This record gives sequence, structure tokens and C-alpha cells, in this order.
Amino acid sequence: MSDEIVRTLAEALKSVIDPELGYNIVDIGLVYEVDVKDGYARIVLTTTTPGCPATDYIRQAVETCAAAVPGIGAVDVTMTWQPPWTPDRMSEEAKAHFGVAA
Amino acid sequence: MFGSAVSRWTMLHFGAAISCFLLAQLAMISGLAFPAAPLLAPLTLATVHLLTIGWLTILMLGALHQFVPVITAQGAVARTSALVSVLAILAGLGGMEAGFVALDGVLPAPTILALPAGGALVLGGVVTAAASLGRTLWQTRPLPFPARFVAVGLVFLFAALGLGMLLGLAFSSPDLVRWSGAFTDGLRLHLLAGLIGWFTLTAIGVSYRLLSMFTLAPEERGRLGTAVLVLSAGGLAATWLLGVGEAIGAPVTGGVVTIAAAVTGLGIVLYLLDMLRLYRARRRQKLELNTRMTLPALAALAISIMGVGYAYASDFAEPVVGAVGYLFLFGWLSGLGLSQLYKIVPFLTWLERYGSLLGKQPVPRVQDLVDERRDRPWFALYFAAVAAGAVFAALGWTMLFRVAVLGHLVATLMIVRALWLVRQGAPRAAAPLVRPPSLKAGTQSLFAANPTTTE
Repeated sequence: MSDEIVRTLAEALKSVIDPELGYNIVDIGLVYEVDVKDGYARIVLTTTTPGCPATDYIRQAVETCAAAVPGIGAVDVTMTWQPPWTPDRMSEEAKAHFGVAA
Repeated sequence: MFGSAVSRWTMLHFGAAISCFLLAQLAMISGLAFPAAPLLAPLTLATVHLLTIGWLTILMLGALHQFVPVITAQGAVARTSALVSVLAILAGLGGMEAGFVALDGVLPAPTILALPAGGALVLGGVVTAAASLGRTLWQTRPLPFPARFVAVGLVFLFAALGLGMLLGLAFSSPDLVRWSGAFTDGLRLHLLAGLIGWFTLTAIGVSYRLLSMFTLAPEERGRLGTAVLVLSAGGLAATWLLGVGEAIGAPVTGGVVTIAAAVTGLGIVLYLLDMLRLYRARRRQKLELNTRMTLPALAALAISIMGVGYAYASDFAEPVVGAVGYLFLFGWLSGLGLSQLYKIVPFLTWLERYGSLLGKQPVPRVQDLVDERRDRPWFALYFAAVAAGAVFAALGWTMLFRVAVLGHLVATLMIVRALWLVRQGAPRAAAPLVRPPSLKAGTQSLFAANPTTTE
């Protein structure tokens, strides 16, 4: 059940985009951790660069989307910039979309 | 609050700056300024200051109010100071323009005093902005690499403005400030501090951060980046201080000044090589229009540096100096400014209009607020017209030069129109919207098939 909620949550987070890149935060690798226990979701996020003016909007959107997932009652979103994000964290689809070189 | 907030007055800065840019181009087309008039004619100086203070300084300060917090990953310290600053600069610029027109004999002679008075108001506005930016930078010590260029740039801004004030007094009140070298030593130091110290060093710092972000290139610039900073900033500081020594009659050997200037030039050449390295190392192969259009601006900088060498060899002949200055202002600084505005304005507009709706309502992507296919030819026209204008200015072909300026005025207007449409907030008609999942209604499949989750 927990794995299923995590999968559903990860899918839900795909509706949140990084506005500069214009691509969902899951596939560009901004979601570092997703954990759900007893209806309590803990999500660790980063941004492509520290100080990004979109940071709070992305965090709030993640909270909203996560809270909308059936079975999740409370959400805790933590921002981190360690380790720093790199394009290597992108999914293969995202890499193909941006033409990210190996 | 984790990210830096949207600076409330940045768009006002951009609007005021663009208005000054358009006015300056109109002045050039109507033959009021170089090359139709001499390089140091009052109306040429009026046009140049419309460009350097009205367009470039206000543009850069507006961008810095937004990007110093991003560069330093800090929140801005003071916000209302940005409004006070831009209003003071605009009022002061108005005074300076009146003073220049009076120097030309169009306005009554006493109006010449508006030149130093306006300069003082501009200085006050800049001090207000720099105090806020400086506080943010101070809190971030040790400064991140790009912010070091900005800090040095702000110091040179004061040097340029201080000297500008002195020059304004020397021109308007020769009895008060007797300076026989005002048009030679003074002007050279003023230009060095303004064009290289303030504009170029600041642009280098901001471009390091923005271009690595936009192209997904490594931010760490290593030894080459350090060499760029040390040589360009150190070389310029030495050139400037030696120049001040010369101006006050200290025994300074001309050869030493030349070496210091060459070191500065080497620093800028290394920056260009580092930009080449940054573009080659970028992970994002498909570039957006703003990062593609940065390349002709960098090329203009490279040609300008070669042009300075040629001007030095030709004993600073006026048409060559004027052509190099024009290419530097319009190709490098204005080209970089316009191309980055094409990204910054949609990004800030997106944050203002759609940021709080993300995850709650359908939102467009930032890149869907512009139409690159529609706007690409205008950027091409802009840079082509500037290249032609530089050639015509160097050859002294005044009429053709004015036609070239008309070309980049039309291009600027079309780019400004694109930015105006962005501000209306209407995404391209065919642009997809990113929709929230509404999972409680059981519609997970809405986004499952498409990695961009667009409809």
C-alpha cells in the first residue's frame, strides 16, 4: 500500500514544473526523496540553482499536489541544496527532451 | 522563504530603460549625434548618456535588484530603495539632458547648471541602489564567483559617476573647477570606469551565472575564471589609478599604463574564451533564443576589443573610436541586454502571474509566453543592423549609418512588442497548459502518459 502511495505521489508531483526549464520536477530530478508513512508524506526537494525565485512556488505546489493524493493526510516538504542538482539527475526522457549530452 | 522574491520594481526599471533606449536611437536617426555630429558634441554626449545612464545603468540596476539575491542565494535587504533609486536617476538624467542641450546653445546658458545638478541626483539614486545591493553582497561573504564581478562593477560605477560629476562641473562652471585635462584624461578615466568597470565587469558576472543556468553548463569556472577576474578587475584598477596619477601630474610612464590596459584586455579575452568553453561544455544542446542571441553580443565584444587595439594603433582617430564605441554599446552591452530581457521578462511575469497557481490551476510554461519563431528574425535584424552601422560609422558614411540605426530601432520595437505581449500574460495560442492532477477525483492518468504533463 505504501509503495503504491509513493508511486501515486511521484506521479502527482509530475504536474509541478520547474518554470525555467518548463519540465516536470520529477523527471528533471529535483525530487530527492519521497517517503510516506501512516498518511504522513515527507518530501525532500531541490531547485536547479540556490536562490531560484521560483523556489517557494515550487515548494507550495508540491505541498498542494501531495495533499491531494488519497491516503495522504499531512505533508512535510524540505528544501535542500546538498548535493547540488546536476543535469545527470534527469530521467532519460528529460535528457532526450533537452538534448542533454552525456 | 527559501528563494529570492520577485523584485517589485524591476519591471519599472526595465520599462524606463527601454524608453531611454528607443529615444537614444531616435536621436541618432535624426542626425543629432555621432557620426552626423562630432563625438564630443553636446548632443552626442546627451545621446550617449541617454544610453549609458537611461538604458544600460537602469537596466542593470533593475536586473541586479532581482539577480543579486539569486547570485548570492539571499533575500533582498531593502525593496523600496529600488523605487527611490530609479526615480532619482530618471529625474537626474532629465537634468543632465537639459544641461547638455544648454551646452549646445538650444536652452539658456544658466540651464547648463542642470548638468552637475542632474549628475548629483543620478549619483544619489545610484548610492541608494548600491547601498541595498551592497548590503546583500556584504551579508554573503565570501562572495560567490559571479558576485565578485558585480561588487567590483559597483565600485567602478561610483568612480564613473564621481568623475562624471567633476566633468559636469568643469564644463558648466569652469571658474569653479579648472581642469585643462577634462576632455582628455578626465574623459578617458570616465569612459574606462563606466564602459569597462561598471558595464562590462557587471555583465561578465551576471552572464557567468545566468548562462550557466540557462545552458546547464558547470558553474565552477576554475583557474580560467579566476584569471578573468584577477586580470580584468586588477588590470582595470591599475590602469585607472595610473590614469588618475597622470591626471594629477604624478610621474607615470606611458608604457606602464599601456601594459595595465593590455592586462585588462587580456582578462576580457580570457572571459570570451571561457564563454566559448562554457557553451561547449553545456549539457543543454537545444538552446533557447536568449542564449543563442548572446553569441553575437559576445562576438561584438571580441570585435570591439580588437577595435580598441586598432584605434590605439591609429592614434584614436575619431571615426574608428566612434565606431568601436557604437559597436560596444549596441552590439555587446545592448545586444546582451535585449537577449537576456527576452528570458528575464517572461520568467518574472510567469512568477507574478502563475507562480502561486502552480499545482492548483492550469498554467503555461515560461517559454510559452514568447514565440521564438516569430521573434528570431528581429534579433537577427538587430545584430545585422548594428554590424552594418559599425562599418558605416568607421567609414564615415553618415546617411547609411542612420539607415542602419533605423534597422535596429525597428528590431528593438518588435522585440519590445514581444515583451509587451508577455506582460499581457497571454501564452501562445497553441501552447499547452500544465494541469494539476486533481487526484482526489481519481484522475491520475491525466499526467501519466506525458512527461511534461501537458494537455
